[in-house]
Amino acid sequence: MINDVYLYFSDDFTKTKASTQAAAQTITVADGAPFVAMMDGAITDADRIAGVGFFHNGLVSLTMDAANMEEGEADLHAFGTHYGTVADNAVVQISPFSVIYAAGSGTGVFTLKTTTQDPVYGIDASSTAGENGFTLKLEKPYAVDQAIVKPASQLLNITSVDNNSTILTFKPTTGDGANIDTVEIHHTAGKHKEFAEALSDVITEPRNQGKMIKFADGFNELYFGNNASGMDTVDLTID
Amino acid sequence: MIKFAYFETASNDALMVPVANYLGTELINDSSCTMHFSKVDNALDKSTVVMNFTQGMTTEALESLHNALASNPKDGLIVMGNDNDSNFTNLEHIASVGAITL
Repeated sequence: MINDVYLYFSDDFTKTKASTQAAAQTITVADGAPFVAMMDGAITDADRIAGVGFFHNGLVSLTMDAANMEEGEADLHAFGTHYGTVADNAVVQISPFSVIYAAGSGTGVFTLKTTTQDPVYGIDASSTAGENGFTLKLEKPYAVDQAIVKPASQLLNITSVDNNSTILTFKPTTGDGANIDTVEIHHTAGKHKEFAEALSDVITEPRNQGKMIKFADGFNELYFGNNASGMDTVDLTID
Repeated sequence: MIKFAYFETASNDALMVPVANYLGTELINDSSCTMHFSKVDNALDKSTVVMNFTQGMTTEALESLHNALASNPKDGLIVMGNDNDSNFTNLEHIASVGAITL
């Protein structure tokens, strides 16, 4: 029985995006690079409590850039008991239990539950807009051209572009005759042989057959084996 | 032995396609991806199946789909999803079979 090897590649684009800042419980993140679009789905209050939705499932993480806890100020943040004692200017990892989410018009909007609404996970935003900076980090690829799985059987050729990059060319996912899918992987200069050996190993090694192998996970900066070729960036061009 | 992948939607669309015709899978968004196969009429084009998964479980769903695709059932038939069979247990993280486009 023929067992193919399924090769996973992901792009190494920037994973973080800053929110706009408002004197409100809302954390608004606009569409656009590096995420083409914010997530479509909603996270309702019931989802938040039940542990359902993309935030709970680890697609993103959200941090408050700097908690304002300075004594004597009127525009402090307040945190539910889950967060313990928060130091002034601390970066705070926001729990998925603390927010609901809805897609806006060209935006995605997280809304913090207040400490009154949820004494455990609630967070009261500052009354000063400039104190409410948040950073959204994508933890997994989720959109077109961010990741692809290609069967090794569809690999057409491997060509060196220059001293430090190599292109894998596959039959296109569109099935078109004149087009191709390419994965360009950058690596340490002069390491074409090590790169080719890694690719040969991943395709021909019986232990690798019959499953998906993350050969070049640029998103997480994880590369196959001991990465003797020094792979470091990945560019996908999908037909 | 030739292996086949089988898909059936809740609206009674179904497709059985040789695994050898598989071209690759691409994410669409945070809850679905598209599996591409060589076009069933042998044109230089594609036939596709959208697979829906638990929101946010992107890489996990890709692994689940490809573990199934790589499996070796005795009869060579790999059921990737069957939304009409109440006895069929979805692959891990997979919610349903979406649109089949021939």
